Amino acid sequence: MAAIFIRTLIIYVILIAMMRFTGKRQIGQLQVSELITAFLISEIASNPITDNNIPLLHAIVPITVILCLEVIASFLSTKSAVIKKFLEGKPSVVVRNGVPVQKEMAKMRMSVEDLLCQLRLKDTPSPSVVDYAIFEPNGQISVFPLENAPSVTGIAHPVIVDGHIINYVLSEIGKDEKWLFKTLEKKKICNIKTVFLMTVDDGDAVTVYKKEAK
Amino acid sequence: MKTFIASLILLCAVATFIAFNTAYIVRISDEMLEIAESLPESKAAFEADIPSAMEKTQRLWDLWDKTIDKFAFTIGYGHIDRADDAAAELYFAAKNGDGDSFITAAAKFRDCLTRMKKLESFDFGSIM
Repeated sequence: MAAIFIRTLIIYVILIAMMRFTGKRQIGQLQVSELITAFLISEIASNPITDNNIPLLHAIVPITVILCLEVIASFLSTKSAVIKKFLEGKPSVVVRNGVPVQKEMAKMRMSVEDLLCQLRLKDTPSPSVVDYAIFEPNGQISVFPLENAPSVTGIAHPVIVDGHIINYVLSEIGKDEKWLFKTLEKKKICNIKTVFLMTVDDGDAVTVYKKEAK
Repeated sequence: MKTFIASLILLCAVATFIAFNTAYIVRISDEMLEIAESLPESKAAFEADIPSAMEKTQRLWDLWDKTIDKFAFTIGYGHIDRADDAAAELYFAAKNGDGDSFITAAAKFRDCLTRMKKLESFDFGSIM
């Protein structure tokens, strides 16, 4: 047990020293390569702590190598746009001028629900009030509101998502399919499959985003 | 920039340590394998010259005993324990003049040394 105690201390001190050496950010701000590094290190470090049959160097050498490579890669990414793009990816504009950018969302495998959720987390009630929503390489979303944004009462409830009626939302806002089809008819939309997103706010204002041609 | 250079230096240091460690383990393993391969391979050969077998076994045991701690820095303890058991069996079989156990232990020890050497060397098989 004493050996495990000492091994844990050694691994802990080395990990702290190496993490300080890389000078990296908090978990929520990790880039892809940093996230992979964090996963790998946690796995490698735990093995010799709990298994007395593994030499300490089996953790110290890979941890040192991984963190050195991470520092080298980070440095090179500041010098080369190609390496930066490869390691970190690039920001993606998912809403532009109040309209979801469907092609970019598909590329990011981001669903409409994900987008609405991210916007709500940024206190944004609807995509219609957003000038730019940018999905950053660290997984966070930046939102820039439109200057002359249309007013939204409460929040925008998605009643049609990707051509499908969301019945529980409809009933939550006290509407039914009859009302929905009537509204679509007024908007001169006869096929709901052509609707990417239809939202209704608490003041009954309807916004429809049609699917982009592929 | 400073961190980048420090990383490069650290990486080079680790690579150098690994290269030296590999060279050391391969050299010592070869040295031990050379002695182990000169040991009698049959009970009759062992019994024909027990003093010579004992002398070689003693050299092998001393070398193993001297290097086991350095080997244990990088080689998994499972491999070390297996080789250590084989070395002890070999030593006591030679001391007791037990030909059958001696032959078995010698083969086991040679196999352990070959495996450890392969694991530590820059060999495609060991990397994969």
